[in-house]
Amino acid sequence: MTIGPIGGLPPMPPINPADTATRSATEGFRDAFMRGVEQVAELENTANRLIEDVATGGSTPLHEVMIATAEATIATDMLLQIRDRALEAYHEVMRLQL
Amino acid sequence: MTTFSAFDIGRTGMGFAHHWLDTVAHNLANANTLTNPDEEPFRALHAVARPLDGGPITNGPSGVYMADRVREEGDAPLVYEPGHPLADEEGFVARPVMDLAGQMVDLMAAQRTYQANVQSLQSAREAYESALRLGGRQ
Repeated sequence: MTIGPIGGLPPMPPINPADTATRSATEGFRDAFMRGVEQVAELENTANRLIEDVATGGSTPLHEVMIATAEATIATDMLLQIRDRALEAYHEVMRLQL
Repeated sequence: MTTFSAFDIGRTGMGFAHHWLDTVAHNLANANTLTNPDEEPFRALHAVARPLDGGPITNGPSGVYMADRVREEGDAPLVYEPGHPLADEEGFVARPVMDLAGQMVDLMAAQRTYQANVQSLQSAREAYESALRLGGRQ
């Protein structure tokens, strides 16, 4: 009975150089976040316009103003929550023990 | 259906109640508008509500809008006031075609409609806020 020689290890496949998928994912998050910021800014602008109109004696009903400010508040809160969680995930990765 | 569809729907309801309140106020303000019996008397306006098409789960706009304001039918009640400048030859003036008690009830209903829509908005706001706290630390 013959024992065959131990073969060499197959060559390691090269590690994908910081592949494009990851980079586009981070850019995707950044873009989505920036879009979110823009949308929140848009809501705040709407609220500001309505407040100005009411303050200067315009015909905007009061509830429109309150609804617009509530929308802007919630949108800002949501943006903050998303930022907090992304930051938290980042810190979690930074704390990894190697 | 947008992110804040409950807000948008509540806004239309509050808008309608707002116009309804205005309409009732207009009617009440004209409670003493007398006219000559030969002229068209003041007739109370009634708000007509119509739904915006679809419903809460379609893509189209949802809620309510004021489709029309119709004038009350009927004959004007005549009162005998011979000294009045608007009286006709027989001494009668026409009072507005309006049911004062009915207007007061409409006023209450409009106010309650407004409050109900405020409440639905408030509930939506609380729901959004608790959704934002999902899975958070605090």
